[in-house]
Amino acid sequence: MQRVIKDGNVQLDDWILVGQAGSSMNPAQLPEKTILPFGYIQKKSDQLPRQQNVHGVLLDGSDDIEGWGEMLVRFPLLAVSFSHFTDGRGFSLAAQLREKYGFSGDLRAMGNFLPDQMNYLSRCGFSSFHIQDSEQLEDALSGLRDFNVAYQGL
Amino acid sequence: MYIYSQLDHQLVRERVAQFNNQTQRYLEGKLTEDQFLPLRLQNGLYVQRLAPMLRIAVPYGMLSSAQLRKLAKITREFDKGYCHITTRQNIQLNWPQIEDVPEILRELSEVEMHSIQTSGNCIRNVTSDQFAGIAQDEIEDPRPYCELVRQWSTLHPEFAFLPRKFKIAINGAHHDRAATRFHDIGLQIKQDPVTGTTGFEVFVGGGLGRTPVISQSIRNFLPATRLLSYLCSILRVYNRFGRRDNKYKARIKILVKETGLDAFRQMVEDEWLTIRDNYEDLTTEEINRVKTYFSKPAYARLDPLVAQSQLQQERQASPEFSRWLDANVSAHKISGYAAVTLSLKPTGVAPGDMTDKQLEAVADLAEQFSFGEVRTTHQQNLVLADVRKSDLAALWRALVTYGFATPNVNTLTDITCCPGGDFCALANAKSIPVAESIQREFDAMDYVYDLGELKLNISGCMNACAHHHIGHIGILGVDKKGEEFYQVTLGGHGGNHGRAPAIGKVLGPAFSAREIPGVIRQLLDCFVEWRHEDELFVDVVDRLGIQAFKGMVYDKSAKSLQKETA
Ligand code: SF4
Repeated sequence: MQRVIKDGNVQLDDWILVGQAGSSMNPAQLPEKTILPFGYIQKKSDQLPRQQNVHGVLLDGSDDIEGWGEMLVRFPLLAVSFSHFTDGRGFSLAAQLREKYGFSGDLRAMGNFLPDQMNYLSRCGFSSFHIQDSEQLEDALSGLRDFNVAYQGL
Repeated sequence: MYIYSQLDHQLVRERVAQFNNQTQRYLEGKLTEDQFLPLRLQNGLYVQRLAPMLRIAVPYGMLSSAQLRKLAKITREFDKGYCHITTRQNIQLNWPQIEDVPEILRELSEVEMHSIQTSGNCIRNVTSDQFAGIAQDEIEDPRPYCELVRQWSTLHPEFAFLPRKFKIAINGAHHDRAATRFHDIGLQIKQDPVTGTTGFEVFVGGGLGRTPVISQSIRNFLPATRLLSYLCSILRVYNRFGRRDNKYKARIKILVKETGLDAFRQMVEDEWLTIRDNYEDLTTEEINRVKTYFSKPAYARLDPLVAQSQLQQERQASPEFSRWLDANVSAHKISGYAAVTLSLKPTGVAPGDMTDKQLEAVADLAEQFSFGEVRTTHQQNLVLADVRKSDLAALWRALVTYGFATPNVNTLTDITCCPGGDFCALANAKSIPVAESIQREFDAMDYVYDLGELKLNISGCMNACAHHHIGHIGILGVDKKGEEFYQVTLGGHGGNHGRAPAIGKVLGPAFSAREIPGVIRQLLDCFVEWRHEDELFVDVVDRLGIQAFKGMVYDKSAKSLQKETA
């Protein structure tokens, strides 16, 4: 179990992140609530159980999801990983998932981002945040509330 | 001029509080140097050669008297009593202390100013024509759209960590005084030939710097009500696919080039098609609401003939006044009014620099003569946009007193010049002393006038902050084995007066600082000898090509060098 920020507070969370190492796993044997790499999904899309989509997908800013959007939005959780906090591709990827593909599940920010980016991340559509450094939880929570007004009607 | 609403005030206050917190965490060691860097840049704070530098946003160049007075106070209390007007219409402080910056920002917020997004890899201050709203050749005043784009781009959550900086310029006149073709996005206001509705031709992928590129038209007509969703689509494609592996290839111009204009356009249009119907775009009501802030001031009804004959008498009484009228005063679309450019280029002052006293003087003069408003220009001067012709003589006398009346606007000595090696950490060479040496060499005003309009721009490095590529004569500081040298380019042009935009061509091997005034002299001697009637310097460069000048300059400098060493 890990702690994530969701709905404006810290919550316990039981999603499991499977790294590239898990790519050899048989889709049928995957435990529920597994976050799978996008590459794995692309390879095994036809073997994934269609009806009850219980897994999540891990994307990063460099992933080109053109052609995969409709499939991705059926998952209950999509995670976008930031390789570096100055790499803003994940902000646009999140906005695309929400606006262009209509994703309505949990959109999670992971990896290297700053408490100072929380407000922007949430306004781009992220709904949960995995904070690597637990000492930053407080700053991250308050970062969410950096701005109470905005010019953009997002 | 735009006036802050409740929302604007709250937003700027929250930003100040956020930056205050970030500065504290940095000073306490909770934010690393690397983490603080992009955060402070997005608040205009650089660390320069000798001290920090704070760049304050002047949205599309508009300033009020109250703002000028606040700037004067800030330069006095937190700096060395002067500031600098940049080529993107902003204002820089050269000597603030990092600890003082949150307080400076708080002071600025009191007069509806900030430094948000004046640096960093985000959407920067929107720039425009300094004669917006008063130009005779204007299709529509661009400032309401500038303001709408300013609001949309300010603290935009999606576009704060782009591959590189992003600059937007909007022009509303037939002549492009905003160099829109050298911006990441250039918007040219036009009217739909069929319906008459206002919209834009959209240009994309322009820029100066290491790889100067003239932008290309991506959309012939975009209705104004669709502006924001279209901008969002361009920015989104750029943010997703712009290069991040190499800082010098990260601007949108490279993405457009590498993708190809047609393919890039297709990507933008695809994005736009899927988002535009649900996007909170501009409504006609919103455009009209913002337009009310830029409605005409209370112009008096003046008899143009009376003003004209009075001016004629004053001209005859003073040749200095007459010269100033010709050089620094321009036409206004309302009869009986004129626009006055205050030259910040007297010899011996760094181009674009102003003292606290001067800021206050301009504040007073703006109130007395021009509805309390003033504008900054790309050429690092100021404009009082709405002066009665009958007041020109009185204004001129005041300008002489405060050092703003050097009658050199648009001439050789109206040099556009970056801070260069005296301040800037990125510089290869100094630029301010070179500007001064040229001004000193050409102190004969009659000669300078005879040359006609001539733009000379000096940048201290490849970043091209002084836009040397579009100077009729461009000077670029280069580093040759640790020594400062200067490369000269000829024939650059921002695109104006029916002339296509052009990037200057390199004359040849670089010169030392000492050689530069002599080289400019040689170039101008050739020009004077070769020009037909009223031809400008750029016209002659266009007609004869750079080779003609090259032969003369390098032949002569070779000879004179021989003489010196002999
Ligand atoms: S052109 Fe270079 S030297 Fe001049 S201000 Fe820009 S970065 Fe600094």
